[in-house]
Amino acid sequence: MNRTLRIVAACAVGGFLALPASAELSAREIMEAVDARDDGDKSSRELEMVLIDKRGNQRVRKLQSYGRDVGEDDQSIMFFLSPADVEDTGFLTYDYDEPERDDDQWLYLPALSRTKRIASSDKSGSFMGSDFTYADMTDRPTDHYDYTLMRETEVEGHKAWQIQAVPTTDREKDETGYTKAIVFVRQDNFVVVRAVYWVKKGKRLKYFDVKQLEQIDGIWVPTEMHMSTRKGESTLHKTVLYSRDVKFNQPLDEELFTVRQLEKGP
Amino acid sequence: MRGALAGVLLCLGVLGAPEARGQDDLDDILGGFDSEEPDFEVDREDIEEEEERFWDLSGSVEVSGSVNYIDHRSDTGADYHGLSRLRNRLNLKLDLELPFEWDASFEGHGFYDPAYLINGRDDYTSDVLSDNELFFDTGDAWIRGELTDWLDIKLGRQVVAWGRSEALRVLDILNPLDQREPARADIEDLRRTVAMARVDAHWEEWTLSAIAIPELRFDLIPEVGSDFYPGTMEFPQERPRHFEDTEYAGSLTGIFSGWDISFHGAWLWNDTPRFERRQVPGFPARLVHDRFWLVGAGGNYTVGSFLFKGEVAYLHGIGFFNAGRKSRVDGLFGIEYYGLTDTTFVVEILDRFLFNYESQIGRAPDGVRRHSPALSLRLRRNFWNDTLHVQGVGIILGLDTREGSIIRVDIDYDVADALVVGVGLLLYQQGVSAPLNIYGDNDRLIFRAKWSF
Repeated sequence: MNRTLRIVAACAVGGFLALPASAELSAREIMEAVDARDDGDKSSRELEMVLIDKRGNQRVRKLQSYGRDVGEDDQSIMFFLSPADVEDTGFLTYDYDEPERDDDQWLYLPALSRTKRIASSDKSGSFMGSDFTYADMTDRPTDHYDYTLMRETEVEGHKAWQIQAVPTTDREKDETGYTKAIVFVRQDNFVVVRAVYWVKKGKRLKYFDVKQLEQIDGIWVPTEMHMSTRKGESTLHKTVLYSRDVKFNQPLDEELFTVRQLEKGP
Repeated sequence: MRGALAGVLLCLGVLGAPEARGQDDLDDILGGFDSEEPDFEVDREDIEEEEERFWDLSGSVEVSGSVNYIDHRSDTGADYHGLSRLRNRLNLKLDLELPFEWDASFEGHGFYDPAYLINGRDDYTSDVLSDNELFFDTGDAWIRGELTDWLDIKLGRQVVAWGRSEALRVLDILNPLDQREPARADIEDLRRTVAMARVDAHWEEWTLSAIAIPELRFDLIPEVGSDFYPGTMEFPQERPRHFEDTEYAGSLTGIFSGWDISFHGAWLWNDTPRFERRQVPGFPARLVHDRFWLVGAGGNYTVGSFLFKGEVAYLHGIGFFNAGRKSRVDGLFGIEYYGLTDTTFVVEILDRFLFNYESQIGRAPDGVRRHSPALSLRLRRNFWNDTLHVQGVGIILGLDTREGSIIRVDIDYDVADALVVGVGLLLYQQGVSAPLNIYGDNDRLIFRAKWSF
């Protein structure tokens, strides 16, 4: 699964509810269904991240992203297209399904003509300055969470489950930087369309909201996602992430997901 | 009765309040989805659409300066107190996509520094002016492509960064350095490109590289009259310049899950010159470059948020003024820690051990000990959604600071996309060993503004 799609699938946190007659599913079953949802393979897309600060200033990052599944694991490679000072910077990740196994990550810095291996089990840091974290971009193990079905509700006219997710291990809290989340899962397609995250540090909340959801080649793809960081009543920062030109089942061979390709660029 | 009922209701109210308040709080939180602030709407007019083209012209305009705040002069008498640099630099880069998935890149840069005009050009030597006032150079100038599915070739001026270290070089010695203002060159300008013919053969996790370097370029070092140059004498420099002086290098690199390893071999010229003892009375010493062999290895290993790295190299043929050619082993061990949010911490420890050491090598102009240890520390943290970058780097020569040290602190702020302004502090602690035995009064405030396009 492409890392960018994981943003949605990984929002495994939520709370709540009174089980509806329709779905005699437990909260865990729902979240496992979210995790198991077909999110495509051998994908390519262009990403546009708009970062907005509290003064309304915008910064824009554009990336070309490719992803593929390798069994239960994921591989992705991303290249910065803009802004100019980071153009051609590349990021290669092997995201392993096995929770105890560290991901492999490499960063290519064109200014140094050098690829750096990175080690980071802490994924609570900002993803390229955005409000999304690296944890938001990766699959989270469902068995590291307690899920509670809080209620049935509606999101933008669609029936949804409201589920609370609480990490059961300190490692998961440390890795994600979240102590709790409430997620809204659409009942017709098992896509997480909204979430609120309780951030471990700074008494902050993060709001995730899918504004555009499209079906591409039969696969539900969030093509416009918002993530806002708030403290109290005020918004501190916001990121809007657009996915464009999304394609699945592309002829992406394994050579694309290598350091060799990382150094060649998009 | 009414009082009793009121009391019961009050009790119920009080007892029920926390739960009710908790639910109210949750409702307030979940209501946040509908309280979008207008300031956070995307303004698409500010977003440029990318054009698909086979060429891309990019570059940067940069102003960078140094203000020396300690009253001092160079050995030639030039006053280096106050503004010592006000470099206005233009960098242009053309990238081309060629047929058959080949590509090419050409980069050039130049700068003019009016600080010398402001301070009075007569105070400076012609060497300082020619090297630091107006300067042009080419960077990348290469063409690259696949000869087969498993064979890549890259021809032209380029940088090949061997090794894993960030500040202390063991394996990363294929490209000469810009050392005119030690520790001042930004990392992207530190290495000088040289013309190479490089072929990479890929096989599963392994890459075998063969490199020929016919263009011989050497470190840019401080000129006579610079505040980093000891003395007032200029010495002739003998540089290899013929085709038969071509350098050769090769490496074998394997990249695996959680670790990687590489093996290196090279026949190179030392980019940093040394004094040669002349046998002719009355002739001053000259600067020469030694040709030496290198064999080495390096590797990374990751566990959790730690990256452990190591490099080792055996060098044969390092020359000295006070002795003949010697062999040396350089070893480096480093740890990078990424476990703190938006923070990177790097520590590197190095030792260079000289075989068959002779005591006279410790005297000038060599000034080298049997063991030459060094320590490097780097701490970098990003704030405010990666708009504020704070970095501190310290390099300590020797086992304690008596040997000398350099500390650099930078604070950079992204004013807008591709526009960065920064200030910093560069501190040189004078030591007993070269080169830090002459740097002591060169502490400076530094600043820069860079716009990339």
